[in-house]
Amino acid sequence: MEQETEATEILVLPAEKIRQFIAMLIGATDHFVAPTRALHEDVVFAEVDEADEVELDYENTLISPACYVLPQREAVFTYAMAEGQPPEVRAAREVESHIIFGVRPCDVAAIEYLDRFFMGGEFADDVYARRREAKTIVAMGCINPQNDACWCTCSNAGPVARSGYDMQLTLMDDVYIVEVGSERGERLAALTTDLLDDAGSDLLEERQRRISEAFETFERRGNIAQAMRWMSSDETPEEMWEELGAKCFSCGSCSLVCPVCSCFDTHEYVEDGVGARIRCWDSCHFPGYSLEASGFNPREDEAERMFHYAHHKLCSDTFNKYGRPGCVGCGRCVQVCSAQIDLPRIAQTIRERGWECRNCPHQAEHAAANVTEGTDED
Amino acid sequence: MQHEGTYVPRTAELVEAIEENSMEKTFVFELVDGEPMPYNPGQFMLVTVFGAGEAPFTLCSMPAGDPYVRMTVRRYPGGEVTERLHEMEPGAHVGIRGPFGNGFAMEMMRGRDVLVVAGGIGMAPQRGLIEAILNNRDQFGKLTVFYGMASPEQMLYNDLMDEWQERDDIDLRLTIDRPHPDWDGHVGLITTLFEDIEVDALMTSATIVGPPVMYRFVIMECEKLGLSPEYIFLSLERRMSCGVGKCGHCAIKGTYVCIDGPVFSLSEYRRLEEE
Repeated sequence: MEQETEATEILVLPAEKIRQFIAMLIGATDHFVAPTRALHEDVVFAEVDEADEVELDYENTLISPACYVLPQREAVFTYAMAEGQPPEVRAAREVESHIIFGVRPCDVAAIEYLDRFFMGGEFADDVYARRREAKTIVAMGCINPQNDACWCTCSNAGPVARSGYDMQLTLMDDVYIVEVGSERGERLAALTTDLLDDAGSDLLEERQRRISEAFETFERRGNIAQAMRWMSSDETPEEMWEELGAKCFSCGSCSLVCPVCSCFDTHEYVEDGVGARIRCWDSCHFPGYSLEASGFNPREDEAERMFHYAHHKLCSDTFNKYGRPGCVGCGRCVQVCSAQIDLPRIAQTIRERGWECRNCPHQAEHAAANVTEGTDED
Repeated sequence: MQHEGTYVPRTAELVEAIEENSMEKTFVFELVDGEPMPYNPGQFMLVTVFGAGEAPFTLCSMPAGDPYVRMTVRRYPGGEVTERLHEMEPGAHVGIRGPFGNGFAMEMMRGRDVLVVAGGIGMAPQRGLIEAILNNRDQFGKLTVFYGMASPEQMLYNDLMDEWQERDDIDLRLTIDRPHPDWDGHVGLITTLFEDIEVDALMTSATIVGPPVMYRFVIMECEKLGLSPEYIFLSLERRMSCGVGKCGHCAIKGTYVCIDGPVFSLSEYRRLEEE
């Protein structure tokens, strides 16, 4: 499969100059975020001050750097309360600007999805937009899978990013290929111009060849295209959702680590007469997700919540609105789900069982189609 | 629409809290900035009780030229926002965002007979609709209102009900679920009111708002009358934290009750039913 890049300019950086390059980026921003070793050698995205702190050989982190555009907790407004006076309400406006370095292509795709979701549609989310505007994304292309949970090639998000980054680095032997994807990326390239050279056409062809090869090295988990067809048909069998729901602990881990999941809840915090409306991550797997004050819960059973989760991830409606499925193949749900009903397994189950729909007049055709399509390459 | 941003409420002062019954009060708010907040029947607002949280409530009335925002709210024990609202005295302040949602499709009722079916607090969002029809009476055909509640003391807007009973351009029929010593009217579930009605099926639009359990049975009755699913409207309630299609709570198969609803035709509603 050929990948077309939206890069406006392609350069190379000798691999031995990467720390120098990073040091220049650190000097160009107030807050530089990169993968770094934390406690127990875990790699996490965190603020670093020195180029040496940046980890360059890392599996993708458990928490996506998308948390810098949609944090786990953030104040959307604050208010001062005084007896007998109307409260003084203030929108949260101060956001820190960051360069986020080392964002893997799956997370670049996730942030691109979040951008379309929060900043598009009938209402734009000004809190998200303000925060997003202050972030510069330097992606790190993968070429090879980082671990055996990666499946971005099945969800059209990798192994290198085609858009959504300001700058993208991809290591090839002794050089990084540097793609510039935006005006901000151009400014970073201008800043580091002493370290960069033009990329020769041989190098680009070689890169293209390796990306094509890379598709073979990724685990072929699930089959999103086929699962999406079933999910959009409205004909999936109820029993399947009951079985999946029975296995689920409703712990919400899959959606909390998912970089595409964007559901949030709001809470109030008041201290010394100053209050804040806080929004924080929520999960549609939690029993209280749709519970109303009256006690009525439209999705009381996990089976119903499982259907809702899978439908949002895989229905064609999501694809039509946001240009991609609601999954970027980062594999985090594969790593955290202790019941082993992560999204690739759900997609696989839908593909295998979709035709068992009740009252469906085309059962025989579906069964036949599933046998032939079950082994194909789509 | 919003002054400060998507999620920042405008401050409003409680002018009056009218006790409707032991569970429900109608709150009348005035916006502190003095700018009006026009809305349509069936739309809703998100009300912030500072220090407690924010919750969606439908608007119940909109007299012409009225500068106030009126909502009837049931108190739910353990529901922080509704409990705190019910304790509020005039002069207290809340935050208001909105109006949100589509509201009732008046163009699907104009020139037609209208059957309004309200169960319990489902009368609140439909009161505005009925008032809008009465204010433009010549634009609509026959107006029939079914209003059912568990017992007589739960009735909302008592004076208004008396007024509507007196008028000859609205056919108001009340019912209570079980016999009650203070009640000499119709007794039985709201579906029993359908036993004694004649409608011009092709020319009638129906609106249904009530507790979740009521919908299925009332829908069946409306269909028995021969009404088209395109002209039967339901207002859904869902938990909401944003009102603008972002928090995810009210989503049903990619449709957001807060921006695509809360009012849906029966045919749209059927498409939303989950596995």
